[in-house]
Amino acid sequence: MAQTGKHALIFGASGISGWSIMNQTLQYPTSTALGRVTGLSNRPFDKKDAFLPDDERLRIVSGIDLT
Amino acid sequence: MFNKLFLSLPVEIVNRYLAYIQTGDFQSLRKVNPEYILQTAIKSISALSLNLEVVILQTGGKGYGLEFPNEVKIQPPLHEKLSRIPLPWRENIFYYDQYDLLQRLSKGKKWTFSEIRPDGIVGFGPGSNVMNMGFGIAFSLTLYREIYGKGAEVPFPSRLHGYHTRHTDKFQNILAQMEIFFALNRDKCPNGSSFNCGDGEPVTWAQVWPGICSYFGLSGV
Repeated sequence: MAQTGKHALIFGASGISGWSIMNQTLQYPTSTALGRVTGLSNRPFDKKDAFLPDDERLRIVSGIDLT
Repeated sequence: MFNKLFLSLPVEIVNRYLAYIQTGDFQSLRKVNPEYILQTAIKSISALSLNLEVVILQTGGKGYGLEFPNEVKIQPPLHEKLSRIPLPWRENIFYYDQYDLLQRLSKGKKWTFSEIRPDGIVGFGPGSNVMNMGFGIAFSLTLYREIYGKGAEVPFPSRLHGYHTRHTDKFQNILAQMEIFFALNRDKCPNGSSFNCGDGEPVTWAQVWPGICSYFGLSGV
C-alpha cells in the first residue's frame, strides 16, 4: 500500500456522503491526488460491500463506535 | 502541481464527514452528536497524528432553521453570512455545537476546519438508513403499481406546501468534490469558514414527482 502523500480519513463512510467521498478521493482532482483513503463506519461494512474500484490506497474499517 | 506537493510530505487530511445519529428528541440529538462523536473523533486523531491538516465538517439546512418553518422566519436566499436562528430554537441545533467545538479544539493547533452545508443529497449509498427517502418511495410506488395497476394516479404523499417549497438538492459527487477541494486548498478557506453547496437551480417536489412516478409506470399528481 502506498504510504506517501495525503491521507483522507472519512467518518461515516457507509452513508450517501461518506461513500461518495471515498469514491471521489480515488479520482478527484486527479487519480493520484491522495496517497491513502480510509473509510470508517460504525455499522458492519467492508470493501466488498462498497462497490468501489479495487484500489490499493483504499481501506475500510467498520465497528468504529464513537459514542 | 498537486502531485509534487502531496509526494513531498506524508501529511494527513481529514474529511470528517458528519456521522449523524438520529435520536428521538432534539436535546438528546444535541448531546449525542457533537459532544461524543465529534470530540471523540478529533481527540483520537490528534493523539495519533501530529500531521493533521484539516477537518471538514458536513452540516446542513438545520442551521438555517428549516425544521422550524412556522417559528423561525426563513428568508431566502439562505446565505452563509446569516446569523444563527434565535433562541429558544437555537438550542436545538447541534450543528452549532459541532462548529463551536471545532473552533475550540482547533485553537492554537496546526489544523484548521471548514464547514459545508448541503441541503438534500441525491445519489447512491451501499446501505440504507431511516433518512433514505429513495428506498421508501421506491418501495411504496412498487406496491402502488402492483395494487392499482399501470397508469394509476398517485397523489403526492404529503402536504401541499411541501410539494411547492423549493430546496437545493445536489448530486453526491458534487458535494464530495467540493469537500475534497476545500480540504486540499486551505489557502482559499480560512479556519472556521462555512460554505453552502448546491447544484444548479432550486427544485420542488412538484417538478420531480411526476417523473419519479412515471419511472414506475404511474402518474404522479
